[in-house]
Amino acid sequence: MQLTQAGSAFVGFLFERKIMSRKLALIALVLVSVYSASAMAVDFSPVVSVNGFGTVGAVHSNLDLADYSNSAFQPDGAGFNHKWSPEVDSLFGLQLAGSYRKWKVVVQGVTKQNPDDNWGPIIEWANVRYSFNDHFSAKVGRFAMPTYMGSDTRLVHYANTAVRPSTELYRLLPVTTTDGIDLSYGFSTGPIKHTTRVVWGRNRTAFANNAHGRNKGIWAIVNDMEYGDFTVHAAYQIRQLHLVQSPTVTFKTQPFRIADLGITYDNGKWVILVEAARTWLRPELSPSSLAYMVNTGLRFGKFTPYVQYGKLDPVDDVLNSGTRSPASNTKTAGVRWDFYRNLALKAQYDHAQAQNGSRGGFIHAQPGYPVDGSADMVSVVVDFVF
Amino acid sequence: MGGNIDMRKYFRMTIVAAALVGATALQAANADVVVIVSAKNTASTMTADQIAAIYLGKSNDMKPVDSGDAPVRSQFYSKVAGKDEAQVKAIWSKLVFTGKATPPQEMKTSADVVKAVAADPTSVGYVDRGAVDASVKVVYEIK
Repeated sequence: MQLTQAGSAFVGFLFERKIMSRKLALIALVLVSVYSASAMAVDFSPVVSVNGFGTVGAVHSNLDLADYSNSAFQPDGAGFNHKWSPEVDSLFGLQLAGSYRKWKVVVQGVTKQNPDDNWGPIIEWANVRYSFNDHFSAKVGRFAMPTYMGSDTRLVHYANTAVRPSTELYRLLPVTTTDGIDLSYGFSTGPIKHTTRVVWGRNRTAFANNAHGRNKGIWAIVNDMEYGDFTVHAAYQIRQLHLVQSPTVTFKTQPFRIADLGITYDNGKWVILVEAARTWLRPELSPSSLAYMVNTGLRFGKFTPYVQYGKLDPVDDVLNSGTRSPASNTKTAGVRWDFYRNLALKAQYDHAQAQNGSRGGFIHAQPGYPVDGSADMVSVVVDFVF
Repeated sequence: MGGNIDMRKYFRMTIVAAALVGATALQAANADVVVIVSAKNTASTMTADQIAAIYLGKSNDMKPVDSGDAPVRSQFYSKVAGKDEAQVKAIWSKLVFTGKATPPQEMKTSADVVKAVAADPTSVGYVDRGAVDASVKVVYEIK
């Protein structure tokens, strides 16, 4: 009964905040009622679960004339605008999942700093999945785009070693969700477990500084493999990118392609992640780039010290509004402490270096901020899941 | 005079308390954990790999039930899956928040786990050996 009240309250909250449309809210309420009604019957056993995740943290940067931010969605960051910024990494997510026989419904809402600099919660995902059999399932709705190895848990920082995913790598395609269809087929070849997915969809995204993008014709093929202590992620994606940078600056629709390969190794003591991605773009918008990152951690009881290196290089060098194609690297060292049940404390030092006569990933560059600048960042966060 | 009597009483209390703490500690450290399924389930044994796969979300052959009894739980995960709590939590986070799986249901005590597992022939649980009764059967013993 408590779950029914919680479920209805959550749906009401989403509806009132205009996050959920009336139709969606009604469907959600029906599901919640079906659960409470059938909880009394013996044969039916739909399962509704509420889970959540979040991060509370702060970043300090020594930048004076620019900001360090997490992604293209953040309007400001640490440095020029705030010496210590709690907004770069802090977030809270709540997920409601209901499964009944071969069906599963997932709704995930997240609240974090968004492009308008407010913290209104957004629906990150809302999808329905049907499992035809043990191998084949189809998902329809809004879901995470499996561009990168950690795409699905990009915001669930508890599940990852470092404070945040490598900015060099994730900056290549910051758009993270798709509205569409995902077909998934799982099979095994000997000791290797495979999951092959085909994704089709479209997406509208708002970026910082009033830019927005419309992505159509998103197609991707992804293969995830598991073998002993290894997992491998290989993905290839194409989308038609239509970016409106400002009311007067609109870019012609152009195809954007990205290929990604990631490998993890975790034997309980060593936890290693290696990943690389390459994009193909027409130079008028942004150069084609190649980025890679390596993260190595070693577990000592509840402590996991780690080092990470990320690099971004343009494949074609282009002059764009006075600066060259962005290139940068970031050297990171940190430690993770799983101090209590579902909590992890992380302290991390980053040294970010812009290269190639560009400003790298720094934003809000003030007059006088040079190219090829560097910045030191210190981040302290607490990640949790429940 | 009063002081001596108090000291003796105090001394006795300390010995008893120490013995109790020692007994509990010993019990916790050597929690005799067994893996159980419903008596209605036709399976007779399971391997550690099979059990670990179910509890780490790699297989959904059966529904896993977690125990809220801390020493039993940590004994189970370290011996059967070779992982500590934080690692297991991180693995489940990756599955739960991608909508791929639902986490194991958590019951408060070994007795609650026995009740839940007995009622559902598709579920599996782990408990202190002392909690096992005729409604469930042992399919794996943790050494």
